[in-house]
Amino acid sequence: MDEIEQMVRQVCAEALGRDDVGPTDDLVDAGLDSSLTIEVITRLQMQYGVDVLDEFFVEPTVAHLARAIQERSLPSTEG
Amino acid sequence: MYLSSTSYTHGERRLIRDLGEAGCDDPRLKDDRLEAYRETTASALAMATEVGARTVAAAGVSPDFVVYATESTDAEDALVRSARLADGLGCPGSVVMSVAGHGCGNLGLLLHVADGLLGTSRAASVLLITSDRVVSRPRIMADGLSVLSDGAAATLASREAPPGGSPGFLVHGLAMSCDWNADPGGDPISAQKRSVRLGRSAAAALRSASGHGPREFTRAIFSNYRYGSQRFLAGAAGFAPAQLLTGPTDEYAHCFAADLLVNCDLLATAGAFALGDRLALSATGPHTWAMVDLEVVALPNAGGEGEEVPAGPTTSDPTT
Repeated sequence: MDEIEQMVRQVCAEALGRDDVGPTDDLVDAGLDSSLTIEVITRLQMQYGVDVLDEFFVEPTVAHLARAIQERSLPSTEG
Repeated sequence: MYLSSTSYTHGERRLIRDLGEAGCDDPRLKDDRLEAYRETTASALAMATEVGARTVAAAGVSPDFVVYATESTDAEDALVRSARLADGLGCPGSVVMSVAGHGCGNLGLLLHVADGLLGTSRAASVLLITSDRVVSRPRIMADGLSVLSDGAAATLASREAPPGGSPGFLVHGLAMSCDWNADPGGDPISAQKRSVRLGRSAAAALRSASGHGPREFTRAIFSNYRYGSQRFLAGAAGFAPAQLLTGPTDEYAHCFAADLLVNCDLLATAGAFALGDRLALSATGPHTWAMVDLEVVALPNAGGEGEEVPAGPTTSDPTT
């Protein structure tokens, strides 16, 4: 598990109040309601400077959010 | 269909922390921009008559139809209600009808009915009124979405463009998605999944109706829910965070289906819009998500197409 995924997992685990969140578990099914979702997304935005709320609606998992943050954090190779 | 001459009224300003309901002192309410609510002893019908009469006077027309949306009937008979409304508006010859059943999503219903009437009858204008007050239920919504206020709003829907000088909007498209299988008192996770489904469905329907997808709008505007809830709902429907434009939630809280009409008028007056802006309004109820594609076609003191207007309220970055 890389550093970003570990951080996403930690943030989600704290919001959910449980530490058994797997990388591919559905976070909504795990109990992440709309308030907790915004709390998680806001904390990740503060940590990494990117908003991944839209990606949460694509796939609400730790692994997907971590990938999205990683992709958006990469420096642009264009121009 | 154009919308103009919007009028509104709210009850007296009260602080949520003094409400006396469980959870009213939750500091997260203020964090989510909920500080005050509005309360009145006036009936929903009295408020409806007041705002309707002001819209009729401002527009200078006698509407062919009056469509009134409320979930707060104050127990009066529908026939009596129609008669009183027509009389109070000074429009005894107008056809008056009432609609209900979609809660805070009733605005979508009003607009659909007006669009149908203007499209299929010889009517030139339809007065739309929404009015509600809390009678025997908690103001803090069970789902935590917001705090309910008493108030009303009216607007004139017309086939012809309104004169300039005050906010005016052109409706390019309407869409409503419903899920009547849902249990409004169900668990938060099911409610969240339902919201996402309804939002996406409404956005897809609006794209079919008007050709505009979520990311193509200048702004996305919701009812006066908690800021976090508005942000979540906007994301669920496919809007980017920067598109979300919030209304005066701190001052008015959530006044049922009136919020969006009030917000559009207030934000236009505050200079938050430019002519030609495309606004996506979302009116949501327990079983409903209505979405409206509006173009800003008239602004207060706007001299002409493309005139610069000062920057107005914008979405705050929650991280700052």
